[in-house]
Amino acid sequence: MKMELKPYAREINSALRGDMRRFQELSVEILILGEDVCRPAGKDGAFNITSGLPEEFPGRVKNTILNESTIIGVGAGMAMRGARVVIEMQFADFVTDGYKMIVNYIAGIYYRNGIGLSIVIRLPSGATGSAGPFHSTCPEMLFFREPGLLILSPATPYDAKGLLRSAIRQDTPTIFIEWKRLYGMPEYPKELDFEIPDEDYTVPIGKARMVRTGNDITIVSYGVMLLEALGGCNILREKGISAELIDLRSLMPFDHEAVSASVKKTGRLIVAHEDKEVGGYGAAFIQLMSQRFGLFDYFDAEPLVVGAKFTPHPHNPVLEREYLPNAEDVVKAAEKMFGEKIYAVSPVSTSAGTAQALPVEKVDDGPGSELIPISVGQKIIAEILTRQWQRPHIHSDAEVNFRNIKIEIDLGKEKLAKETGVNLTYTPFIAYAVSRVLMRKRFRKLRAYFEETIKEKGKIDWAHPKGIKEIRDFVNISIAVAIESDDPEKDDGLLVPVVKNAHELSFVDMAKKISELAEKCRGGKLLPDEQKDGVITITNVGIYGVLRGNPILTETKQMASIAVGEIKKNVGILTLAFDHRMINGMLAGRFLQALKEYLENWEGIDIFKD
Amino acid sequence: MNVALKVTREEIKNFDYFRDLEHRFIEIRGPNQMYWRQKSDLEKFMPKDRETLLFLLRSMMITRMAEEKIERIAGQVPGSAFFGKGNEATSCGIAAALNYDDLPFPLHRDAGCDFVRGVEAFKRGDIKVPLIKLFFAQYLSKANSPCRGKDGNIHWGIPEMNRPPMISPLGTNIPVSVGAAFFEKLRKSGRIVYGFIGDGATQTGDFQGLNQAVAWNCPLITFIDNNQWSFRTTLQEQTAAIPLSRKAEAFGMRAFTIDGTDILAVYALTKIARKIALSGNPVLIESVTFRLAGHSVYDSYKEYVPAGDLEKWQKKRDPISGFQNHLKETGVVSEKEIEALADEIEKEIDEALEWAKNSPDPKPQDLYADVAANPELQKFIEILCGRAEK
Repeated sequence: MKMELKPYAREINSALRGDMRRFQELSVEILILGEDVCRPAGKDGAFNITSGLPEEFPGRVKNTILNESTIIGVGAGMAMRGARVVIEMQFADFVTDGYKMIVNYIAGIYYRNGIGLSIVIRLPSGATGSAGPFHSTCPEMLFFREPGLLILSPATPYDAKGLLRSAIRQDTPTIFIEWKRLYGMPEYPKELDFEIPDEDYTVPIGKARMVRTGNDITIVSYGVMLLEALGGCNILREKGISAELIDLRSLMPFDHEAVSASVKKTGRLIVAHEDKEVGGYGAAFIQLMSQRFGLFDYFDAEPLVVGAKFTPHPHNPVLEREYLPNAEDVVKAAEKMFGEKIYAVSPVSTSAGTAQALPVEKVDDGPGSELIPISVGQKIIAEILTRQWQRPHIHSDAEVNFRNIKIEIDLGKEKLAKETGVNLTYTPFIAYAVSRVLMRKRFRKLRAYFEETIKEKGKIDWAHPKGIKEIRDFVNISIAVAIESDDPEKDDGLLVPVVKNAHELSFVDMAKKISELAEKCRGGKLLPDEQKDGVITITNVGIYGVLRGNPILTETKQMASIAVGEIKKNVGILTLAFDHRMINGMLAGRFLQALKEYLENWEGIDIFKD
Repeated sequence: MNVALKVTREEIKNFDYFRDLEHRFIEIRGPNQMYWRQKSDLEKFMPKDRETLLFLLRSMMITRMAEEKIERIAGQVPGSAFFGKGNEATSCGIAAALNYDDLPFPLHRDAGCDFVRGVEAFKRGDIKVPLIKLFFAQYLSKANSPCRGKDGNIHWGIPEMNRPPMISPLGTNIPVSVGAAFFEKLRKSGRIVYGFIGDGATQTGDFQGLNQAVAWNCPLITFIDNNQWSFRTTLQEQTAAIPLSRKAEAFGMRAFTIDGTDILAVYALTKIARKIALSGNPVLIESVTFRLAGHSVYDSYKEYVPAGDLEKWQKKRDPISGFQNHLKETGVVSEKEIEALADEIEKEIDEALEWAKNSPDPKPQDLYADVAANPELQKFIEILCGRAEK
């Protein structure tokens, strides 16, 4: 009686059949070993994977004794003599009985003794539904730390066939992780349903499969969990998050290049597998991607593992549902990275400088009122400042030696004034340095801003940012310009013009632009557009002989502000105010340090050349 | 052959390895079929020609002397060292009785097996330098040793001379040798496979692998190097199934227990066992010796091995002096010839040791080489180790 196998199982069976024929034609012994792999009437193997093979290859599909150490040892002995051996563990769980043979004997035998072994150990893995703790395991991490083993784990019928062929045709012992849940799957979603060619093909070892491209988040998965991850991607798409899904296929070696390229694009990484979250594949994978493959600086959010709980595998369906990871867990992890779902609301304009232009409003608090009226602008400023005051922002100082800058000023001041009319000060140097340092990838969080939760009446709920709205790939610098009033009766004012695309300006253009904007401020000619879209603010408080300032972040869309204290004997203090929700002390410190280094090591740009 | 006598229950109960195997050995034909055999039954299969007798003597002497050399220079040897002192008749006798093409799975006390096979391997060009040189290079963990410094001492494997490696869990030779034996059967190569385990390994799960050998009718001989000690634990502390060949009854295997210090008896029994194995009936042979050294070179065995036992076995059952006496008594060699042979071996050893000492050590970067045969995995491992371009 012929067994009707479902696609995943069918293609594994087909790969075995094809390669047995192939190697027999080459007069190479190829054997299949395992418990119950050779049974009459097509009932070969607990999952019928070897069905039909004993009849076609008599004497080459061998039932073994119920002793996994013996099965694997016997396979090693055959392979040592030149046979190609495929071993079926009845359930992946049982491989622990042969663990010694794998890790002590076959994994290192090439290293120690130069003996290559063609052994593929097929492991039917993963949960199937109340199969309990001894028939549901994910075995990958038993083997990950054993150099000398290949670990492959196909999710699709196409890859199962191609990867099994690749494994059989080479001489390094291979842990081939199959998924029992996939054995029984009648059909695959169309994104994973590839046509199986008639001709011989292999799937390269160490290459991932791009299942779906996306821009916001990278999801790396493999095996049966790939289907859950794909489901998660579909839900995320509805929520407006574009996820890139990578099927690793090969766990050792793994395709670090594909993952690197993706994370460099998205800045976010989730590893989703049925293996345990604690001490599982994802933990090791993230460590290697962060450290060995240099992704640490590219993460915009903490990379996450979605996996099974760190408990024994339970039996009861309710418990097992709680234990196993699913599509919803992938979505939750993604949402954790983004805050919550992103809404499209327009940001609140908070430019304090606009207050200047507003008319004075007379207030009438009724009879007996003796209050001196204040302007609407001042009221708005009060409101904005109070609101922003509640925003969790803190300060860090750096003492900077401006000796090299001073030399630049001394050398160039006169010439620049003559040629351009610009009075050279420290400000353009600082602005220039800020624009360059801020463009560095590692400081991109200082260019980002949150989508804030807006309470009633436009009030911001600082405690619940929804997610990062944007990371700007440009640096516009807001420069605070004090407007001193000649009339002692009138209050002094403050305007904050913005140097747009400062990161692209040459030094001279930067100095000219700042000078030009300051002129406009003082002449009352600054346009509203010229006060918008700053990314960071620089305020020079040192001109009043102040040691250091303690700026407040007045712009919701700015995560940082810099105050420059008095530069005395070439030394001045830069104070960075930063939104502590976005930027931790380490990043702020690194930024200040980078800025300090940039300024102190000013290399004497030929300021008249550009 | 003489008529065999059944071993009585009383005799099993009072079994004594030293006393009971002097002139006899045990044959197990099946369940409850345990017989006494006379060593004289084996005479027909013992070597008679001078050349073979001298080869056996030389093999045992070079094994003992090479290991004694290692013992003297132990301070220069990285790690530990493991000696087969007392086991030479077993290791040399077995390997000499079998064909060079038969596939051995020796243990750490079976260097004699390599010294025997090494002669033919060198003659055939399978190894390019004499085995004695490889032996010292391996112990000094040199770059040109069989393990290239990646493993040391007696864990060598020399694929060129079909010498598989051993690993430290000693039962593991059984399943691997069963697999190899099945392969030879499949290929109808006419080879047999012989593997060694220790007496302690008869307690391991891998010992059960002999069931597979029987089920598949493998051409396999499994030898138990029974030196009666598992590191510091006696055999009696581990099992009541003494002699150990009794365990084969349960597997339905042919089995023997023989004095493993008598090289002629071991040689002859192995010849007989080969025929049985080749017919598709695996054989278990318990070769009884006494460990005349420590578990390893740094094991102060005299503190726990009863002095009386040690003296008794050393005096009466040292395989080398016993064989020398036999050869002198039978007029095969003179004392003078033995002395000359010892001098010649000593010279060979000194020369080999010098060669090994002058051999290069591996370079630090060799750590990363040859981890996997698969080129993708090898490259990836080098990347993970920070050695290769990402």
